[in-house]
Amino acid sequence: MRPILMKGHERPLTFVKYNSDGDLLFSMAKDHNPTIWRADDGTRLGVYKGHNGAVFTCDVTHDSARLVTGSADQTVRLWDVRTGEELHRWSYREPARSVDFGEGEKLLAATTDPFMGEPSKILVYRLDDDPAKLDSEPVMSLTGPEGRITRAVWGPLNNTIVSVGEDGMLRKWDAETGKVLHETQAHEKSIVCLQPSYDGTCFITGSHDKTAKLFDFYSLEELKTYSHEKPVLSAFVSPLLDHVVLAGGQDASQVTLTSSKAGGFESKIVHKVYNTEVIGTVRGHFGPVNAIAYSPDGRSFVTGGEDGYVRLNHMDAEYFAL
Amino acid sequence: MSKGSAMSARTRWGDDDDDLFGDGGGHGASSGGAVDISLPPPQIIGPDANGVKTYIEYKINEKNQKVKVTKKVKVSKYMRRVTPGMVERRKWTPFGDAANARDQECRTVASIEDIYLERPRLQAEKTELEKDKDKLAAMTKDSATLMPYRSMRLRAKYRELAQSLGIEERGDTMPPGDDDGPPGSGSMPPLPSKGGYVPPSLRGGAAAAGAAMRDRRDENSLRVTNLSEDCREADLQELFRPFGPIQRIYVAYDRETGESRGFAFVNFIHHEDAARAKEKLDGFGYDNLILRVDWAAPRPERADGEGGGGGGDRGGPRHDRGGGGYGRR
Repeated sequence: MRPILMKGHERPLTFVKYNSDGDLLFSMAKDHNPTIWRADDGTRLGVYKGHNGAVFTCDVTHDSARLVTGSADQTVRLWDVRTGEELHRWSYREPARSVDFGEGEKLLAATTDPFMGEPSKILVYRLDDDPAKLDSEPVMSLTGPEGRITRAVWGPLNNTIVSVGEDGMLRKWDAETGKVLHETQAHEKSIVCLQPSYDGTCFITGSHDKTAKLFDFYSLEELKTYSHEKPVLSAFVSPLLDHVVLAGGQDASQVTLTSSKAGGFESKIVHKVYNTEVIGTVRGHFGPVNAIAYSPDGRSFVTGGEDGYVRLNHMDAEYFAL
Repeated sequence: MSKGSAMSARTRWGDDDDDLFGDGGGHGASSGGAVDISLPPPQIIGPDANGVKTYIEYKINEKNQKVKVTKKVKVSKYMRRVTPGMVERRKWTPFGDAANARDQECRTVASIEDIYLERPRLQAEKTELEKDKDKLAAMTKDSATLMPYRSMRLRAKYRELAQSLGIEERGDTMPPGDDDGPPGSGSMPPLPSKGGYVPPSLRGGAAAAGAAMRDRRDENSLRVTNLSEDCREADLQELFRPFGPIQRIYVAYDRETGESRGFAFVNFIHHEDAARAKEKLDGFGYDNLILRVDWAAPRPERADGEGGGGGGDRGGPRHDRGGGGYGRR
């Protein structure tokens, strides 16, 4: 396999996402420039210019018409995917981190970081097809617990919002009342990623405690634990095979602060059910892998690294014959 | 077309070219026209069960010879599900920073390096398999995959076996020994040995080894220098075998690094083969280097103990360094 290297970012990648058809790819990085690529050959389609800080997450509508991004420049912005035009901007006094469209794309959940004494918040907005009618005021604001909420996503049928935080807690919020319905210490250390599976039945979390865990989306029951040698900074569930892919690694800058050595920058594919069975590893990055995503058809996956590269891996036939 | 009119009408060089072509073409047609009729029609066969489609064409080449051109094309079907949205988005043009065409060249590259899905368990199995293969190769007499370090004892054993079986020892290289002899008992460890130098007289199977030594005809021995570092026994075997049966090939390896030190010895069974090989291959270009082939210097009186073989840290592999290393083995 010859991966495709996409060098569009000057700074570490933070997030990658495929659109629903899997022909477009969005990459977010700390260099202010969300970028769209063609997912087959990796050509760059465009750059969404306007952010003034690191961009942490994005979400794209099912019809691939609208993109929403959350950035450290204290804004969440809505973009026209095709033209790169900014359609709307939600501004805060805190850095925005996570964004997620609800099912039907009439609702948007965004989270803000704790900043200047303000706690972390989850904000819910109502969306409208006409950007002129967009409301900048949230319909609901959920004030979070201590510490940062690293990711918040809509639960099934928009009834709930599931969030993970730096405190290692997994929380389920009632999307109507804003109450915490369920709260569990999912990981010992900070949870850095939460990725729902494409079918929406489960999601996977990755944490600095060197494990990734698979949860049922409805019951929040912990289904599996996958252990890794290094912190799991990103994880994804394959839509095609019973595999999950874990990635991460120990950043060289953190080596002096921790006991472990730098390294572990390869993506590890593990069997989803027989969680100790390692299917294989794919090398490539020079730094920790901050972002990973399988394509919706499960035939390729993309990784974004601290080294600024996006690597698009179209898997060989060998992988599917396993 | 008359040549005279063409000459008079010629105004530009382009016409000149045209005219020549027309002239030549007409010429060809007169002779080729007759052949044309006998050309069989082109055929297209397949695709067969393996998806191979065969195109057969006949044509006349410039020497007026009839040529059959067979092209085999592998036909494979590639199915991809495409939604209307994807078709629509295919037409999208790059915008913003990506709009200029130069952009694509520097942004997206295919990895030069082939990345494999590294399978932890499979790799272990593979090495097992390779080990078996190596053993098998070691068993076969004329194996091309000669191990760099052959145990004297195993070779002696082989010789005994050959003799007991009544096989005429007609040279060729000895079967490469595997390093499975007990350490220090005559087999040289494959990589930097901790044991240090063991004199042949103290090694296990010394008697047999001594016999093997005696068998070696030093006067038939060639010293090959200025070899490239990645030249192995098998390469030399390939190079020298055409001249005649070879008794032994020895490539000097650095004990510390395991790299070739750039010289080797080749023992022929027959002196005249060696002489021919020397004549032909001295100054022969091999692997970008010019080989020097000479008679192995008569063995020095072994006063320097370790000889060339032991003093691996004494200069680079390009050195032309006597036969010291020779006796070392």
